[in-house]
Amino acid sequence: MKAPTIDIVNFCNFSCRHCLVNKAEAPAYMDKALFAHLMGELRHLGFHYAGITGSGEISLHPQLEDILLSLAGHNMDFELLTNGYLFKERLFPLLRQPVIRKRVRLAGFSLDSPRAEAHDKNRKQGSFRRVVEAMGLCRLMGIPFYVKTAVTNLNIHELRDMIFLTSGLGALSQSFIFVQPTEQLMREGLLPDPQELYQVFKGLSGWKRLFPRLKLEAFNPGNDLFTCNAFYKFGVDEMGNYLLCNNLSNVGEDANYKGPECLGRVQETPLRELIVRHLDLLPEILKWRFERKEAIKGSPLSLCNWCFLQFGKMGWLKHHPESPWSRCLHVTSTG
Amino acid sequence: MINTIAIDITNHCNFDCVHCLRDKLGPRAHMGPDLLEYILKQMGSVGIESACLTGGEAALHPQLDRVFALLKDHEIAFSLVSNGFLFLEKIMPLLDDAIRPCFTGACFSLDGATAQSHDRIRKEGSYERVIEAIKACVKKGIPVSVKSILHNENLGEIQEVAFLCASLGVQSLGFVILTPTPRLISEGLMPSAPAYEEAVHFIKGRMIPAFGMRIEIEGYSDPDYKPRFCNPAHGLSVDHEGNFIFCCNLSHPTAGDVPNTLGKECLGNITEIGIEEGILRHYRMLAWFMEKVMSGARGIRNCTDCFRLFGKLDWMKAYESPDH
Repeated sequence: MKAPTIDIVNFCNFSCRHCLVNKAEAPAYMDKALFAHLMGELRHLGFHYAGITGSGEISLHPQLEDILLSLAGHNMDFELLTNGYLFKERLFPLLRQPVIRKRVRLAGFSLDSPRAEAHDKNRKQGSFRRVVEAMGLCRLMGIPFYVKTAVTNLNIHELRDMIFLTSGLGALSQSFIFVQPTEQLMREGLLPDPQELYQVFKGLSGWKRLFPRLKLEAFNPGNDLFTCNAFYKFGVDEMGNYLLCNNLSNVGEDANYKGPECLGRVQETPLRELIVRHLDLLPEILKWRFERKEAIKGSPLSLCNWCFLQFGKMGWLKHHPESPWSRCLHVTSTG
Repeated sequence: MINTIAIDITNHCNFDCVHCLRDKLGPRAHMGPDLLEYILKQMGSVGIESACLTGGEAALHPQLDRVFALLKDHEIAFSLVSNGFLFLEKIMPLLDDAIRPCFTGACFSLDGATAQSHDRIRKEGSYERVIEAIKACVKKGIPVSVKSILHNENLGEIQEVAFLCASLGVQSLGFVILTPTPRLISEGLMPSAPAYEEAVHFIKGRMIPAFGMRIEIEGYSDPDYKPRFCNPAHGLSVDHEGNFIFCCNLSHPTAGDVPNTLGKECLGNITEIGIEEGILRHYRMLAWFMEKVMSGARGIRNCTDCFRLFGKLDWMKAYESPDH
């Protein structure tokens, strides 16, 4: 089992169209005491690396310094994922502290377009300049960084320019994410047709030999049934819920919705037992996939899309039975 | 995450190595083409597109050309494990333009940096042959990996083995921490725990940082890291009869003076349960196994502990004493 991904906060300073998080949920962050407890559990099992992220934006965490010092105090190396907007004000001063700097291995940034106006339209005015500046600060500190981009109609025709931009900025890698459909993306005409998106990603697969920094997330050209985060890592959300996969964190139609992806709370159950529950669930996940293997292998979708359906995160699609996404996932108006 | 299947295509071998885990008392057999084709079809049905051929010694399979053709026809990328003794005669000629695109690499056993130390474990003349096989593969652009066991008589040679491999163009080298066999113990070749600790410390601390070639230590993991994944988390294993075996290392191990019998490690035969049920049983056992791995001070720390868990070291009782 590899390093966990820890969501330390569920609120954000942006409202991106592709964001999967249920915004109706009450704002919450992982308290420093809970975080320290989790660090203790992780260290007890021998973990020495963690991913720090959020179903919101980590720089908004009110106890961020305590969180980062707790990582350092537990000798945990870590990487973090941020939208970069408050990097200079909130993260940079903390990451410069030698005790914290020693433990930071990698930073990740979200970037939606090589054009400032397009990125800012999805994020916030001035956010493009700020995230590029944040990458520069990482270079200054010698922290390797990568860039993540969810591919939507906003940027689907400028992916090569993205690679050129982020390579020029010194990014370790540029990841393109096969997007999960959201109602807002659909409403605003930003949700690509799945067939078109699939073909674009097939093309990107071929680019990997041209651009060594290029990575693809949530996509496998072989449409296999096994390439899946849940088979080697886990997540913990801001409330201490152990999650089968961090991508399923706080995604749902109702506020406070927790589905079968939530396997218990780290405050109440030893992490060792939660990992065993996790592994016990894997055959059930595979059984569901085997029962639909022809559809999965024959569809222009990612395995993550199917997983969202399996875990009840695609219920809203039944209101859009005419959508090609609904057709590919066999979602009808009756559910 | 499953991405490959290890397939024992035979349990015949032309060597009789002291460290060999395989049972030599049971009947000898090769996997027939019909069973192999069934396995490949099953793999295709769930989208598994790669295999590793192992044994026994793969070169001894009497229909190896048919084996390779079936893999190609089913678009399965494959590698194989060989002792290298017959590689140039039996395997290399089959790697023609049709087969070569499917062939992803060869893994050879090399147990010393000199003919004397390697042949001591393997067979007279085997060092020369395996070196020639490695050179021929490198020359043809075939990726080569090497496994090298660590025993009492070659612990002092590990630097030379790594230097030799790197010089030959080997891409990855795995030093293997041994699981006890009756002959290893009776011939005094099984290193003590402190001797292994010292070797591991040197390999991790000095050799891995120094060489550009990838170096791993197999059969060993950081004792502090409890949720570690080993072979079964990464792939399936099928023996020459089509039985799903939880880990390839647990495939028909020696039971000492009596033939091995299949136990808990056998998850069922692919012809009876199909690959989907085999995978589900494999993951159910993985959850059970990981619970044992993580269960504190008496957990599973290495392959030897795992063999004990699966009841494969009962023969060792004759050798056990409070201080050994």
